[in-house]
Amino acid sequence: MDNEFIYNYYDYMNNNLQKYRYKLLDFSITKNVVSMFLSIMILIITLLYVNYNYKKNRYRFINSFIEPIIIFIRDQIAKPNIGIQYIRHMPLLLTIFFFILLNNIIGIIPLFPGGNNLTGNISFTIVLGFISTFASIYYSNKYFWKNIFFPNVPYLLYPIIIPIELIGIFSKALSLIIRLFANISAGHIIVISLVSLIFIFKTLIVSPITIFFLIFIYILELLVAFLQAFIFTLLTALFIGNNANSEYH
Amino acid sequence: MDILNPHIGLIFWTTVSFLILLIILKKYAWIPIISYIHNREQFIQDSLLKAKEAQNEIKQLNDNKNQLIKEACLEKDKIIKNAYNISDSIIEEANKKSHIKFIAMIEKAKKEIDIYENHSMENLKNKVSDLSIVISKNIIKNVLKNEEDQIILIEKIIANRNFN
Repeated sequence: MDNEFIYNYYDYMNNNLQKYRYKLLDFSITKNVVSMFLSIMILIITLLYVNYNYKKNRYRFINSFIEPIIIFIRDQIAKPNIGIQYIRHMPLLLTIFFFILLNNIIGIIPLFPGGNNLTGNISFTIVLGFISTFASIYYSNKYFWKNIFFPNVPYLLYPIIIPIELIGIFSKALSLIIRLFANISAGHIIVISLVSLIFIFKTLIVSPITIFFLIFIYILELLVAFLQAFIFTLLTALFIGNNANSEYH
Repeated sequence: MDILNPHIGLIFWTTVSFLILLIILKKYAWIPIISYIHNREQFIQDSLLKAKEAQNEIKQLNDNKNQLIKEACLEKDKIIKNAYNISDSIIEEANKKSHIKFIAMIEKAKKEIDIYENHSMENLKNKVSDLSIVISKNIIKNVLKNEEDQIILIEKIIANRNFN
């Protein structure tokens, strides 16, 4: 009787916990959040040091590492895509680029500063994707809304065009979210699979192949870390520029 | 499929921390760094423009200098030609003048020589006449030592003369 009651109680509690698990708001500082705080600390300290060096008119290694990236983002991403008002959007683009890049690199490192895959997490990419979409909508001109709600088409097509345009805004955000998430987590899944080969075959003979392919995949992931940060910044600049310079057609 | 479920805590923390990061970096890092880079690029462009302007000025100055040198050379040639011409004319004039003077001097000398010749001739004549008188006196003294001879002579002279 007792035993049965305890078992039933445990089962009941477990079921309820499972039920409430998605209803309660869980704001706990998880490993990913700690990693994000760490990356934010690193970014703030590094960039304030860079600024301090500029103010003191002296040049350190970190300045000559950061400055080409800033100039590259300004000349290759902001200027061609946004246009004349590029200087207004530079802080957002630079913050997005360095934040994603640093978190990608931290995600690659398997030891202390890294060890957790923040940019391969969909919650993180959702936030960044919606921030870039909100920015592109916030900086849009009046023709952007006119194109969506009063497009230059016959009135009979309005019920089709308006939902498509509205979905288009969110599909742009979704493409940003899914691209970053899928690229980063795909690399990590490949790494896991290659390491798991040893445990699946239950032999050490396969380890040289694993190590060889792991090195290859890590180098590829380093490339992807830079590439995805670049692409995310580029697409953000593209959307901002499209919405800010849109014309009625 | 836990990997595809968005976690509300991470979304919240990411939003908050990204916005804080954006605000802090915008104010204290990006705007100063971008303005610094912009200022430096403008400074470099300005100094390049200034260097080009300075080069153009140097070119213009060089051209001006070369033109001045050419003009100075032409003027020098002209001056030298003029100087040669003037010196030639001066020499010719001097030659003419000296020739005229020379001729005049020669004529003067000739006149003076004539005058002196006349003088000397007169003197000579006078002296010769004096001498002839002396000689004739001596001869006459020698010849007419005797009274007889004197008488003979007087007679001869009287004989030669006609008394008409």
